[in-house]
Amino acid sequence: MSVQSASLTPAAQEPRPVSGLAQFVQMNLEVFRRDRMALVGACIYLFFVLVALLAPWIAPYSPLEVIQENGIWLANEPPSPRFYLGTTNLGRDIFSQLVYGSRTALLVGFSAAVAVALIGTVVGLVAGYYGGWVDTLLMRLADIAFGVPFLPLVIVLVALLEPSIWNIVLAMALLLWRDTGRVIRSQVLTVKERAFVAAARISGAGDLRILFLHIAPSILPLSFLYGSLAIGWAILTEASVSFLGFGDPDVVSWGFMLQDAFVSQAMSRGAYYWIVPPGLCIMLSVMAGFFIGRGYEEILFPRLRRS
Amino acid sequence: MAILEIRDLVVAYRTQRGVVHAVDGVSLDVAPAQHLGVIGESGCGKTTLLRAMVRVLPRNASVPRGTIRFKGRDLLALSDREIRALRWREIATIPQASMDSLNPVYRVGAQLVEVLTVRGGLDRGAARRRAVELFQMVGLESQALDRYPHEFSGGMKQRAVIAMALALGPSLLLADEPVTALDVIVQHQILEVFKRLEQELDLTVILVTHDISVVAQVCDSVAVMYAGRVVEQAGTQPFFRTPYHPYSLGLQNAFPNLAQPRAELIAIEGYPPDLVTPPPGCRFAPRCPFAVDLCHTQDPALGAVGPGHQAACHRTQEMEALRAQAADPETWLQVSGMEAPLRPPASPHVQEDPVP
Amino acid sequence: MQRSVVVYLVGRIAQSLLVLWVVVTFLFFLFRLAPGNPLVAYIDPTFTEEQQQALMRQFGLDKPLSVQYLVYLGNLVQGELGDSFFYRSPVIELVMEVLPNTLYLTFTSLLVAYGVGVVGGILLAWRRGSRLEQMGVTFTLMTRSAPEFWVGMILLTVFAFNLGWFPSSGATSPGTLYASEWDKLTSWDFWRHMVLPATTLALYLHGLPLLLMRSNMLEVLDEDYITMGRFMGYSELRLMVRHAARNALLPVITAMALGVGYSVGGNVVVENVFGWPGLGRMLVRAVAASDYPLAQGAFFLIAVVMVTMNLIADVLYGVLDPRIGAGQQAQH
Ligand SMILES: Nc1ncnc2c1ncn2[C@@H]1O[C@H](COP(=O)(O)OP(=O)(O)O)[C@@H](O)[C@H]1O
Ligand code: SF4
Ligand SMILES: [Mg+2]
Repeated sequence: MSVQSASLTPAAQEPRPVSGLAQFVQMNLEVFRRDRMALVGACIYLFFVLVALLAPWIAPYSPLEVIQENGIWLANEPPSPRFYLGTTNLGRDIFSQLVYGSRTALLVGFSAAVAVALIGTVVGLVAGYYGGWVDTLLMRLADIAFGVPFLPLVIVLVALLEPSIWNIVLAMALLLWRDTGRVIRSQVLTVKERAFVAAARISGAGDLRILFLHIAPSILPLSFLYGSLAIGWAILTEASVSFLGFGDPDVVSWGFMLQDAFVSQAMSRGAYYWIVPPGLCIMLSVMAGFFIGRGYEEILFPRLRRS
Repeated sequence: MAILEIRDLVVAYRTQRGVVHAVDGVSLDVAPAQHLGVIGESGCGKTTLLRAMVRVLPRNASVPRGTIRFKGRDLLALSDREIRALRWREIATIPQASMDSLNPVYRVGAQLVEVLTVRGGLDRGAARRRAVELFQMVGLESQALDRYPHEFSGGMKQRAVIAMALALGPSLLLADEPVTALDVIVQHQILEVFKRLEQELDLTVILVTHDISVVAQVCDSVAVMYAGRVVEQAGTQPFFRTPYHPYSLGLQNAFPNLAQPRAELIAIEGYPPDLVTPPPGCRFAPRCPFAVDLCHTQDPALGAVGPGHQAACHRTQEMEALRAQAADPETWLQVSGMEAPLRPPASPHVQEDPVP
Repeated sequence: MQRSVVVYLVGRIAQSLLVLWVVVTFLFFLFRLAPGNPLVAYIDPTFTEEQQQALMRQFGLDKPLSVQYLVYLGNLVQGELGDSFFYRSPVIELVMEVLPNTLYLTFTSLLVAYGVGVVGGILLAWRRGSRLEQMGVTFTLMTRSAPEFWVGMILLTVFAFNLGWFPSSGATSPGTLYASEWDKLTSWDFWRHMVLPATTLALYLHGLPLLLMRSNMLEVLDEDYITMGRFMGYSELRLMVRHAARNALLPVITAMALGVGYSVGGNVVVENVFGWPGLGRMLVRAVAASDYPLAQGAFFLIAVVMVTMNLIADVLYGVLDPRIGAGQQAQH
């Protein structure tokens, strides 16, 4: 439901096919050339990637360092040239936390996106190509995955295993492949009837070769579409889990910051400088995922493009 | 006294490639109870002309010039509200895609009752009774009123749309390709319905089609359109007996002829011109086997060639001889000016949908 | 009712039960195989070995896993979810007590979200290409991308702490007792508590119906029957609402039923921000306190609501779209 809801493509519409690796690369470039919002999305990610890489140089303090002066904690400092966004009630620099938070967000976002897109693609390919009981089994599994409440499962998993961002990624991988899997399966069903697949089969190519060399390239843009949406969902999910207190206490993330603000009465003190920035960062990165996803959607389903 | 008078009407579409003049200076008179057939190849502006008459045009359309007088009122000068009041009560339209013109989520009867109550002011009981009558009129069972459009065959849908069009007793009926999507037998049945209703109801009808045989069956006069213009207008009989425009000659060759059913069908080579940059001179010149130099430079005006018969061609005087030549398939194979595009003109990129 | 409809329904219900079975099985093994003694939070270090054993027996934890699983399934079928370690009372009572609160919050926010979304979607489609459309879509994308708990925190900061218009936590003021559920539902106090959490959820939830409605409307407005409606002289309002919206609405209504299921799960976050005593908050507290039976029960109930709503969504779709066979039961 969650991933699906971001993509508003009518199911009946058949995506435009692509085949061949060169064409595929070209198409990905075209997404960003043609769709200005997709480009904006890519720029947002580029920005966060730079921030994440340069974090030690950008951030004036270490994110968990308790800043003291003459043995006194500099807690709840308002924004100033020294602390751009003030300090937490434990005397930690909010701006530095924000900078380091981008690392966690990107790590979770991209690894979950890869996991979701990979599992979904393989499931979709196998189910669509082989059909029969394999297909039935995988699609029933997808049905079941649709019936499992997502966030509660993540919470339970993370709490029972151990609080770590990898368990969040694991939980996402366990459930969210369902959307990608279904869509890709139905795409494979149409692609496998196409002439070039028949030609490959006649020329003696094996199943795996056909599947991964001939069919996969033409459905990859769909994987990218769902992958880019999954980035946003992963960042949101990590934030929610951290906010609820099941995050890794040693890892600074935007959700962690908001939880800290929540339990430290930042709201009743009206400490907007603490509350607003992390949420804005989450929102921006999730939006960036939507934008890129939309770019793929418009290329894949050109009929949706409107003036 | 004409019920409908169109003068120098121009309808333009804004497209990415430029402005398409889909209707380019059309003048037409339609008398009460006249059954006018408008024929021409696909893309010559027939649908645009019809839609302009009730001002249901796509969003990117505009009417830069011309007047449309209906019963003395200038339709283009009416407010949105006034033109809306006129639609269906006075001028009913059977749209080109009437197969898909019924709303899939409402029963057909409910849609008929809706128009009878909302536009016709009947109460529900009266509307229901009238719906049954209308269905009988077009040869449908009254039980069919309770079915959904997807439960109808193509012919039934067409009959239902005709019933809807007649619901409010309009004085002018516009029908856009009413039988095009149907198979031959059903076409015949629907045309029979048309003929009968034309007689019974004393309707004025403008029927648009690319199929000349349809015109022969149900129309008493004909207007031939080519590339946004009317190039010939006549009574049906004179039109078939003595056509005066080479394009009309070509059309008559291209369709099975009732008079000479065995005659060989001859297609007109090439495609209509691109309406963004129409050729100078006669628009048919690039495909016309009889074109002379004058044709490529000077645009022929629509002029009288007989009583109630007009044509727009420089060579109407020689038409008798040309008709004889036109009967020979060879004539059409040797089109002089080959600047006629041999591919269909690039279709305009955006097809947007209509606003009132 | 037609035979095919019955067959379809039975099949669809069976599928829902299968989903539930997989969920509970997964839950059971997840909780049992989790590292650590499930009773660790419960057992006082001062307990003697015997006392611990007795407790293990009381909760059935001394038996082999497979037996435990069967017992668990058997109990579940009878609506028996065990006892909470923490509250030491039956889980079923605890979760059923808070379930209504979750449902009130969910339905209120969904109603608002879908009302706003549907009307907004129609409006944006009607005004396509305008500034209004651009701004509407941007705003919606922002609310869909913003974390719900953050939106909640901002609303709390502004409207509860700064302006003091609304309470900051709970579903009722402390100390208030209501004679009945009905009294609570008709009390001013309850709805004052409802405003902020419901707004937060609705801000998030309205995006899906709005965008879906808008894109469906754009699609439907291109249909020939809309052009036909124009030929027929129908007013723009009638065309938009009765002809276009009715068709565009089908997928949105389905999405709504799915949305109920989804937001019951998603409520977790909002309930925790606003201290709303519902299933989501119960789940989080139970997990945090290692109160496994309670966590399991809350999770199970959330899953039941979700699966039921998915089922309703499917059936609704058939009922609403006359073109889908299963729906022909609807009117005759
Ligand atoms: N909405 C539109 N935008 C741009 N061009 C259009 C539009 N609708 C029709 N046209 C063009 O106008 C010309 C006339 O079209 P139409 O009136 O539909 O012709 P006909 O009904 O005779 O087939 C064609 O060249 C067509 O491509
Ligand atoms: S004017 Fe010339 S080109 Fe045009 S139809 Fe007549 S003969 Fe042909
Ligand atoms: Mg047409």
